[in-house]
Amino acid sequence: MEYENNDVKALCKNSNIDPINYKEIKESETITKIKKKWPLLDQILLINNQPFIQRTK
Amino acid sequence: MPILCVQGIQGSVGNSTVVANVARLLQELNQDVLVFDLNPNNLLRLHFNMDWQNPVGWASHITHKKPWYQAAFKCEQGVQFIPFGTLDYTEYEHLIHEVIYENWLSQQLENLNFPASKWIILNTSNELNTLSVQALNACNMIIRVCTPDLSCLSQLVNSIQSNYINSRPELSDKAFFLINKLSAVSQLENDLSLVFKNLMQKKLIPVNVHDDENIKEAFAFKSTVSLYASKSAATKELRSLAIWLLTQFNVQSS
Repeated sequence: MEYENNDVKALCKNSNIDPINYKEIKESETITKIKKKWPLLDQILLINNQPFIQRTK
Repeated sequence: MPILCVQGIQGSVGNSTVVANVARLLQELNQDVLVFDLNPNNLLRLHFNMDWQNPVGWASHITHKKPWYQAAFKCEQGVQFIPFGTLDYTEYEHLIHEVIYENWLSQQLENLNFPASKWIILNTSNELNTLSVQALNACNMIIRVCTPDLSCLSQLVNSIQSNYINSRPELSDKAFFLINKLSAVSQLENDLSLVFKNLMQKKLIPVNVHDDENIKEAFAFKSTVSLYASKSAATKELRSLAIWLLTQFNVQSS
């Protein structure tokens, strides 16, 4: 799919993504990249540690 | 009365250093501050120019059958502090298991009858024992000091201390995290500070304290960084932390 411009709101509208969530999606992509760089970090942040993450927010 | 409990996620995260420097900066912001050292490593007093050889402290006073509150000191700049004191292993075990009864700390703080404006900062060991648990429960805010490394993150996600705090909403609700000793040149540490921010969100104090030679040198001079290097980046960061605390407790720095 091609977009006419790189405007975030327009991209989100075309992709059916809520623009409010756009920042969160970007942040989690960054974290995913960081996790891939450091194997121990990736292990510590496994999905079964999610309860910890919810509690600290 | 603002009562802060400052506890490291693990040892060597700079807990006593943060306590001493924040106490001094709060005092510079015209606050009345008392620092109570509950950590048996007894290091806090050295930031306030107490003699290294001096064994006096509240715990040693109790051991020698003296009133513990008579072990209070005031440094030249006005911060009041109560050192832990020097104990041997037997004395420490006796103190923890035989002397410190349930709610001992909150009762002692109440008996001191301080004005509502006085700040009390509890410097707490990272190990959970009778004293540190009482400090966690007696305070209005917990600051959990961490360094941006994987051992700290590991302890944060799964440790006796973290599990204890996280399983009790009355503690986790008042707990905030401080990143200390952040190296500006370390890729790993900068990555991890982003991870910490993502994990903790609003629970992360919006001031990182960077690794700064001035803080280490200030300690070598038995002082705090705002006195030793008043214009350093570390002083500015720690002052921002002190101001953040004022805003959290809605206190004006008159």
